[in-house]
Amino acid sequence: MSAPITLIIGPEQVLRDQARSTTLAALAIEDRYTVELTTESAAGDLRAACEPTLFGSDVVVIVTGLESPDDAGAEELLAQLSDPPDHVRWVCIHAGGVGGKRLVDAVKKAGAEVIECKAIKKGRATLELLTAEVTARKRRMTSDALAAYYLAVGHNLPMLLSGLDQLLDDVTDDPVTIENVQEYFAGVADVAGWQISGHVWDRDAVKALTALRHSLNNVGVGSTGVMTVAAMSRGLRTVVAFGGLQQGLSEADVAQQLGIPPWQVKDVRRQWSRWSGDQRTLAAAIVSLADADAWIKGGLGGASLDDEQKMFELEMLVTRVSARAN
Amino acid sequence: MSASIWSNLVGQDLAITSLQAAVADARKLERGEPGPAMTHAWLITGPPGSGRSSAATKFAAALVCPEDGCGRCNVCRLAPVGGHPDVEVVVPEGSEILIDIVERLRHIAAQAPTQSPWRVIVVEDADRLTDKSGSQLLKNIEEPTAHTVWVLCAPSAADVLPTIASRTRHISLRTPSTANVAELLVASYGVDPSLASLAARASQGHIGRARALATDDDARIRRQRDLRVPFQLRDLASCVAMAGDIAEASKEAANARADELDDAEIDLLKRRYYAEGVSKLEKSLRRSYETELREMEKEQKRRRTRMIKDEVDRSLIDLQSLFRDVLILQLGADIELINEELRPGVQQLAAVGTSADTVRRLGALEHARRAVTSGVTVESVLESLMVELKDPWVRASA
Repeated sequence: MSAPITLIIGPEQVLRDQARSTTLAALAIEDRYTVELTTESAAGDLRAACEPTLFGSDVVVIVTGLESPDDAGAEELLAQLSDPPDHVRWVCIHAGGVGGKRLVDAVKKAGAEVIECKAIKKGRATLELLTAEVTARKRRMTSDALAAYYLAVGHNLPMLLSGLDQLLDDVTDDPVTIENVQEYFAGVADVAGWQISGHVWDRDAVKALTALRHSLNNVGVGSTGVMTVAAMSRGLRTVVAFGGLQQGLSEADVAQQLGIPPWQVKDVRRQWSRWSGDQRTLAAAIVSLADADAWIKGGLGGASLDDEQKMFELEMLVTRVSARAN
Repeated sequence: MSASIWSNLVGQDLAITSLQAAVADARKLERGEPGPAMTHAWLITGPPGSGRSSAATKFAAALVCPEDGCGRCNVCRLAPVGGHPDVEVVVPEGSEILIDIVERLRHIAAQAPTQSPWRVIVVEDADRLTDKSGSQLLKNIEEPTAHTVWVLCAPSAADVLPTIASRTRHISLRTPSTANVAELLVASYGVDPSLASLAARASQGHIGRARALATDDDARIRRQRDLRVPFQLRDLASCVAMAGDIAEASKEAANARADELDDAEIDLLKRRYYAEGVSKLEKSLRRSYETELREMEKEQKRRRTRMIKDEVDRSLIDLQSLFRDVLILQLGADIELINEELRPGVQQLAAVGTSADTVRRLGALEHARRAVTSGVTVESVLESLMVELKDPWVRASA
């Protein structure tokens, strides 16, 4: 039997939403009223929601916005909590911050079960959250697959969680591997860009061009172009910065100095080994990439290029940069 | 005529003569006599920092001052900052002057002046008019109200709609000489003469920039750091690192200024909505407050981006001045160096390359400046530039 009051509190909306749905599912009560405590009608809404029901059945009253309550609404909530109607189960939601402290105290005092939704930081904390999610689904995912997935989607918690759900639904392999993730994201421009960039800095022109064509076919030249050039610039920056590091650093130190996840270090090390003897070509690539960044966005003469010309230029760029000089 | 409101508009004697003549003829018009030197629409052009908006607002003040711009009375003090009821000064903060601003000006233009014979509307940065708002403004200029005077400012006549350019009388300002700028810094801001001449040279005639360099330590430090960049490009890694440093410093400087402006604006908005003692807005008011806030934040974001680009551009201009000096030494030209205080460094750079190298480096800088304004990722532009400054011939193999 769950507590008659649940307090969901903290700044991370995804976690609040999750907690809200689990709580509601556990309560299994059909009749739900949601009261937005920040509005002026809150007091009236709250009173109406707490009215006894016709057949004496239970209801859930979900009160949101405890962090910046309407004055009358706050008073009404305090009054209701001091003499709680038997048929009401409460779910109170507070989005974090210092506001509405009096209400939080009152809710806690009424014996609430508190679910904290602390902000999830970038990096490890997010990976841990994703791992927990995978475990909760009774599945497994290799750590490099999870990291690749995180990198592909970017730091956007709602997207990360809903995407992961979808991924685990669609991929039946267990554990899910990095190959699964790459295949799964083949049609997504920024992931494709990231893959193309990897092949380019590996100086594997064939794979780079194949991946590029694949992405051009799947998502078109517009987003493929911008994403590929941006990803190549990022990749280049990392490879060049690696070349500037002192010798003999540990993998963790390298990762920290370059601002990349540790599992990427061996890729970068391999890539650098393919360029270290060929600085001039690498320098030329920096110039070509900056120019490409302009014309792919239609600046500096790029406005006169149509899509076919852009596709051609993009293929030339990828081929020229990744070709081995010998 | 020794109207002293013009006194710190340095190095612009020709323009001042024309504007003073206009004020004199404006008085004749007031008496019903012919006054050909005066007209109802002006376009003041000149390179950045030459004092366009200063000339425009001084002209406005002179028109509404009972003594033709004495420079001493309250009118002369308040009118240039928009503190006179008959003078409206539009300072566009965003990247574009939008139609609603022009619409507001249309109403102001239709009103008769209250305390003086003229109603003056100054539009700074008229080059930020869009096609749409420009056409709207054109309509107002084409059908002038008897006492209304429009004063528009832009870098050049080509920067406004041709139809606007053709319906305005032009006053063009020159880049003031180094000596003029230095004198101004000493006279108006009490800057030490040697620092004043250094700042004047470094700013290349940009008065606002000169003032910043003379009075703001951070600006000076950043300039010195920028000018050291060419000496620190050893390998690709240092090129990329330098590019990152410049981008970072530009963002920091721009963000600091933008934060301040943003906060002040939001504060003003809040004060408009929240009366004394009100802590919560009524529903309808809150909605319109939130809409306005969102609009404002969008515009602020645009402005921030533009300010970052401006900061990067400033660094690039400083680097241009350095390589311009290098070229002067390499060609043996007998011209004053912009960066005289760095002469040993300039000599060092001049000795290690040819003038052809320097010309290519200057080309790369020009290219980078255009790339930054056209929306290319700042980091990428700077990386490419650093690589080209290190090896000016790399583009040939790119």
